Amino acid sequence: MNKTKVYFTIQLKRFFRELPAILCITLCLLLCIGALAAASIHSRQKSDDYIRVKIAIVGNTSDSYLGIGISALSNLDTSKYEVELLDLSLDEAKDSLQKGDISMYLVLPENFIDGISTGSNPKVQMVTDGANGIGGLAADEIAWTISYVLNESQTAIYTLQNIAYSNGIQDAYGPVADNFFLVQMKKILSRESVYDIHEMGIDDGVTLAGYYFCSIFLLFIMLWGITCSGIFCSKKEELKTILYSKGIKSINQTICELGAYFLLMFGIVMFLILLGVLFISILQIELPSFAINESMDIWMSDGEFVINILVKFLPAMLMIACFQQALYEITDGILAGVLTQFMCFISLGYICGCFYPSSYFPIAVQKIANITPIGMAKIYCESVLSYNINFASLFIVIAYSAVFLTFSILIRNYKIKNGK
Amino acid sequence: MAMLYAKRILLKPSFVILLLMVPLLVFALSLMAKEESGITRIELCAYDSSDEIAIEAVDMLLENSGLGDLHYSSVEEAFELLENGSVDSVWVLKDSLESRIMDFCYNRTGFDGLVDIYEKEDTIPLKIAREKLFAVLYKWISYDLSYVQLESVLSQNGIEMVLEDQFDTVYRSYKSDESLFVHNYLNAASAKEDDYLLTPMRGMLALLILLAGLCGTLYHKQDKENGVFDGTVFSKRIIIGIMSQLIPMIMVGIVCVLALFLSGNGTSLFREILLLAIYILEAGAFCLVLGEVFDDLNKITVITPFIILISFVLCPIFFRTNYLKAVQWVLPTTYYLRSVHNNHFLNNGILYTVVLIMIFGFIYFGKHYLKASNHKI
Repeated sequence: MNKTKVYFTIQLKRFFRELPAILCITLCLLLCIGALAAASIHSRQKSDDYIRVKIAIVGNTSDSYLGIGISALSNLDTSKYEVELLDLSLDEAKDSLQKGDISMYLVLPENFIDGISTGSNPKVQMVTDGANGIGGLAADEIAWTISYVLNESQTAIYTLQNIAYSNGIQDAYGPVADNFFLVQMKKILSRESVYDIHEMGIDDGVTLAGYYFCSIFLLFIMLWGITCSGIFCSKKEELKTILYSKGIKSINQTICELGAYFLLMFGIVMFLILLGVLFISILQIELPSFAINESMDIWMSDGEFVINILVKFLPAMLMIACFQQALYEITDGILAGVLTQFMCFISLGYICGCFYPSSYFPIAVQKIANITPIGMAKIYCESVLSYNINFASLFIVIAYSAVFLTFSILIRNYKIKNGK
Repeated sequence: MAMLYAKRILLKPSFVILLLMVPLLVFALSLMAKEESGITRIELCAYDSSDEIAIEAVDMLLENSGLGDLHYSSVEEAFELLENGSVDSVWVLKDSLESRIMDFCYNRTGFDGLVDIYEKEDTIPLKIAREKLFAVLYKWISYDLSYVQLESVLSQNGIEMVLEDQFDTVYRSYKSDESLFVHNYLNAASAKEDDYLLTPMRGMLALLILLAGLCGTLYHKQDKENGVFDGTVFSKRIIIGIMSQLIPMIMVGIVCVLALFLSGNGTSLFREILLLAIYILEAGAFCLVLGEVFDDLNKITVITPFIILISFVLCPIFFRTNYLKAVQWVLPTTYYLRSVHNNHFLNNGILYTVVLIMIFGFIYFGKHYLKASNHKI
């Protein structure tokens, strides 16, 4: 027992010897990121510019109808908060798209409005650079919507014109057409009144902010395993056999190493969270709520946030630490060790919704993801954030920890006995 | 020397298994992505399921689901799904839609909407999906608007309103479903990556290559600490240092290209090889500079997860962001991902590599000059 104690102390010293360096670099990086983020937020707030997507319009926009349309979209429509329309020449638009300054440009053909009014509908080129992903899908969706609304509006205008003309109303038709165009615009701009939106308070739900907090937290913990790769993938493999011969069995070796690693991980998480809380309180940043129907102020004021993260997230952190140790045990060398960590955690993180929300995936994938270790950890962490702990997931997280630890012990035992 | 180094790495079974796992995993993910999915899941239902407008609107929405994964169910089922978190939103088409649309067109007081929308919280995909919902309903709104307008115009001119059938015939004769937009690409040679579930694959594989380079640096540092290169001459050491990064990156890069084609995300073989070659140079130069700036195994292991995390957020792997552009241009993955569809970034990437190599040379030779000077003193 004494030998194990000594080994644990040595491991603690070994891991914590790196703590100052880890803390310093972590702090420097966080300060850099924080400063850049603050500068970015500050400049955006200053210029009152929250616009996300920049779209350039290439072509003659001097026509009054088109001008009204663009002006309405830029100033009156609800989309003005998400889209900024720019008037550029073709070369400027190409250059801006190449540099990544705009998301796409629309090329209006010559006599575009004439074509629209005669029904020939000349095609508008929507040019993107191709690497769009969800952005490209959204652009196609919006293009479909605009086309559909325009086609319906045209149908209505031609019907009105046809019947008016056939009833001898030709001279007086001009003002009628103008008026009808404005009526249509008004209805399109007031489209939000068509919906009656109710945001639901679902008791056990986390908000999108809470969802991403869990995802980023788990992703950080998963990737953090790489930090200790130098210690885990030590070349002195023969030391393990010597320790075994001195009476420190593989189970003791594994638990001591895990304990030291886990304490280091806990220390870093505690440091980062306290730093985050300090940063938030100094800058008086208003955080979005993590749980539906719960204000973030309640969490922050009585320190419950820190307790929730530090204490209640411990089982999930322990499980990931056990998983990381098992992966390092199974691989040989730092190269395979780190790459395997990355592959495992990125693929699991991806299907478990650490990048895209899990609802983006097919149902079958979601079901598989929910039974994986990371999926289970995510369910547990989300339940903690929503004040409704899921004890079944907690039990499975603990069971996974035990399985990974046993696996590590068995591999270590096999390696020692076979001299690998 | 390169062959010996490659052989040394390939003798590790776990590394070989890992290389084989990459295309297999990507292929499995591409198979899974073929299942029915959507960015936002919406359950459609109607208070009056026999309402003709509701039936037609639901059919149209289901046919053109786009961003959303839309399903039709009863109101009770839909609410159950919303409450257990299986769907993001429930759209309930109200009853008596025909008269409600008329109320909207006539601006009648008491108009309380056409659709009840229940959602967990309002998100951008749901907002975009709602635009489509409005477009579908606009079919009836536009019809009624023109009918109301015509009625007013004719009555102002003392003419009796035409029969609804006649109006309907004229209206239908002008109907067109042709799209106004043609989607083109700046670089037509590159393939379109349609599936949002597979699009990030390229970025993730690029990070795997970068990580292979960083691991190569770690491996080299570990060897250095263990005194493997103690007897090696100075000129050879620099070559070994560069090789230790390039060889793992080339090996991982080859399986990544294979994985890209297996998932259907590849463009053309020549372009992929060109992009990969340039990316390996960019990432290699980045790793060389990092290796010199953080001349210690543990410091590099600490900084590695941060580089990966920052790359995930700032490089256009999932979303393209305009935040922290200065940091984006420091990361090699930005150049690679942007250059897939845009040759402009290919040139920028080459320039980036040259600049990094110059920085590396400056630090490397500067360090050795200082070391030699101190030694003389």
